[in-house]
Amino acid sequence: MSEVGQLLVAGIAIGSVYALVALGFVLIYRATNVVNFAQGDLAMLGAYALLVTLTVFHLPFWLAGLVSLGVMAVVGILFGLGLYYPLRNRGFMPIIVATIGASVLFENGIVAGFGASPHVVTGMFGTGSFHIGSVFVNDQYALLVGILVVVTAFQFWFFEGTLLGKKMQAVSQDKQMALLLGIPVGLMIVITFSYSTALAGLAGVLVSPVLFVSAGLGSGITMNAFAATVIGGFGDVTGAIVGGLVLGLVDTFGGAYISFTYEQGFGMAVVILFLLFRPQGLFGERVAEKA
Amino acid sequence: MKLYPIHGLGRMAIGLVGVGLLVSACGTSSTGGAKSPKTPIEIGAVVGLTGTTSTNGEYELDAMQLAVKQINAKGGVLGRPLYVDSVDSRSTNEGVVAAIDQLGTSPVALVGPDLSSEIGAVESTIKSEGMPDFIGGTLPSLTHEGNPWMLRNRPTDQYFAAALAQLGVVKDGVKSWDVVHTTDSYGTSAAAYFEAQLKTDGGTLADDIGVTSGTSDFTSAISEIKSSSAKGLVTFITLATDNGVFATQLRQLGVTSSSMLWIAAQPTISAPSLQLAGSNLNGVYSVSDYVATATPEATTFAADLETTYSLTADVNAAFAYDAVEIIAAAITKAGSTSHSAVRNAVLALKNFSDAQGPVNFNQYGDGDSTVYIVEIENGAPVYQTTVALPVIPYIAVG
Repeated sequence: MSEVGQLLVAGIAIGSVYALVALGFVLIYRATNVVNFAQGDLAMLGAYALLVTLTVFHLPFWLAGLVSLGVMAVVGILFGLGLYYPLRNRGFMPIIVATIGASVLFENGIVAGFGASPHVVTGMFGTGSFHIGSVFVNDQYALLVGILVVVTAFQFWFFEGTLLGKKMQAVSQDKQMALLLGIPVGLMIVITFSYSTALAGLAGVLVSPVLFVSAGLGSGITMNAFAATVIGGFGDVTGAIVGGLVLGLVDTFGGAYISFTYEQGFGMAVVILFLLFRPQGLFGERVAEKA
Repeated sequence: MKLYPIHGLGRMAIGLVGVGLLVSACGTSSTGGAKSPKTPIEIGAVVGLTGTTSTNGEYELDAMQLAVKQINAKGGVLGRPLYVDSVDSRSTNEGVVAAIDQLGTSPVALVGPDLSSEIGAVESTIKSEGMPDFIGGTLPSLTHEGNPWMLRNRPTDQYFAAALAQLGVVKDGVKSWDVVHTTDSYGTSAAAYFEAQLKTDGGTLADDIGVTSGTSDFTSAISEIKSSSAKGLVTFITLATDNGVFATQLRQLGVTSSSMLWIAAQPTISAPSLQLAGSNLNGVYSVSDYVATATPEATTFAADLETTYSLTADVNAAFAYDAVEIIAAAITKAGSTSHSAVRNAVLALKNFSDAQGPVNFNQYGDGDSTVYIVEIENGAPVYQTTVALPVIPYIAVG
């Protein structure tokens, strides 16, 4: 029983990382119809922002995290204006290719600026942990899951309960109509990029004490986050969260009870099954096209 | 478009440019071409400066630069300075192929790549180019595939496996073992050699767990370890970040030095791995082809690298440093920079002292069989003993 509990904790923890990054995927996709393949590397940039605020400015973790989020929000604005905006009328493929290029640029830029060696950062509670019965829980992972819950609640309130959130929803549903209604579509998209990048940065900040700060941190997360959005339903916010958690649990339990060697393949196998039999994912809507 | 006739000075200028191009095209052959006595001697370096193995690449390149600095300070080789021409392999097979192509045949010798899988990708190119290549991969078959240009100044996985088994099974009497290995070329091969040696020495394999490089969470693997009957754990994990996460989670989930004897293969005691894993590696044993306190040469190298580049010397740095030293010695011995002369001179080196220990190259190009046992104390490897191993004939396993 304790083994199952331990696997459950691990699966939820790693799934929460995927969920946070997947949320950013979904928000950008809904606003622009484009998948941002640099989303994982934006998480990596968030981790390096944390590293700088901790080691250069010696801020406490909570303040360093908030400052890093602010930095990433600005990075998101620049990312949206510098990458998406010039290509917005060229179709989706140039933008996708540009995000892949941005991903490579971020990784190599970090290596050029910080060197190749990974860095250790201490989490919010040091190396603390607690036990639920005999199940070990890393404080940092507990923080991550807790913040995912908070982000989910915030997002629900923001998009359903605020005018700005409803405008952003309107833009994601129908840009033309939103424009006709006087909603500044360009501004809404930039805000979306900023918020999504901050979300990715938040994932990087929270996971870096566990997985270390390194240029390769994001590449491992990107594909799993993308898989999470497919499982949850591309374009669905709830789906991104549930998809991330499902993926984390499938990988962890599959690795434990079938084979750890193929752990990362189990989630991908689930993705393929969804694409074959339920392409709209768990929460997406199937869209039929008229002949 | 109207073409204007070229007269007088214009024709002369074109002629001079043409002659200049013709002259500069000469002397680019690796074995011939008129080079002035002071022409620097090029050593090619194929290192991962970006990507998954970029931590190793940084150490290797700086160590090579240190060796070059020291050799040039003494007057260079044959009165000529050395220099390192490095190309980033991007830690991918495609990147390694591109790097080898980019370096061409002008270097007197190459150092790298250091991953067995990457070496396999360029083996045929090295053979066709006919240039000595000091490889860092420990897969035994790399020097037994009929390619005379592969040279290795590191022990092979056969020697590491023998040392691991001698330490764990023979010395400490632990019979039942779990093996955790990355599923890349190195991890799979090294694990196979250890498991074969285990049988020979009377041990048993309880569980073989393959892990993909870049794994974010090892909880499932550690659950398997905890539920197995093994009293010993051997790990062959390639990447520093994986070693750091694995060591941390292993301790967090209750597997301690007193509950299980853990012997880690040499990638775990690279400087980046030790930094990331911190105190979680205390009490862990390892086998290595470099320890800073094993010999005076090793200690001197460590001190020089720290002073010059603020880096802690490790196996990867030592391999690259020694490769340059061996190349320089071979050129001096051969009195030539031709590829075949340098290669023959390398194979003729006997008891050449370097940071890793004395090297004696055999006909296959393998030169090092010195393996050290270390125990990690306070986050640093502490020399315990040197394993005296007989010559191990090559066998293919797995």
